[in-house]
Amino acid sequence: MSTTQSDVELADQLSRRRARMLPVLGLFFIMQQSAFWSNPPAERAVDHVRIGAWVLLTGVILFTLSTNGFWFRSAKVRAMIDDELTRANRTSAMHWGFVAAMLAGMVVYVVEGVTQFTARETIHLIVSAGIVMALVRFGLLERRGYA
Amino acid sequence: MPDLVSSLKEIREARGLTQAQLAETIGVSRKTINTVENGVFVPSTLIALKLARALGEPVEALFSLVE
Repeated sequence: MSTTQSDVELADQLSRRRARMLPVLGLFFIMQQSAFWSNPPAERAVDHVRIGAWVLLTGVILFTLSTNGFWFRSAKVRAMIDDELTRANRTSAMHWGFVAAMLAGMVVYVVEGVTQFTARETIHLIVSAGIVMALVRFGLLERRGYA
Repeated sequence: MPDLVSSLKEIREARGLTQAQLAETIGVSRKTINTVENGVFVPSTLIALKLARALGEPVEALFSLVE
């Protein structure tokens, strides 16, 4: 009994932490944009590292958003963290992220005549819009569960 | 569209259970119980049946529709 209760408490604690962390991660991701746009990557070795780091970070965030994360916790705790409410919140967050990415793509398409974007910049904008929106939405919905 | 009214909180408290204890019994997080009680989240049939079984009440006693 006490073991089970601690599982609930642990799931609660981890879930709260995630709810606090996701919008901060979204903010961090946005802050990275300023570095990208103020000093766009060229073909230097350091630029390849920057590009690789962004791809890695984006991949990890996307994987975490898609799979719940907490891979090193027990199956029972993971099931509690990823219960029905969280799955519904994630679905909503992914929906909002998709819409944000599509809107970003549409904006880039429209302003392409005024401002020229490279393929890398365009992809950066679209992916960032989707990721940040999904992160913030997921975090806010999860926080609502503790109101 | 009719709204769902939940009596979960009253029934849970009448049983002397905390949200965490009820969550543990049916295998969900405490925030799921919290959001169902607050009317923020409408649970699936599966969760509703699990709640009803855990509290020894029919589902209709836990949830009702208001036109």
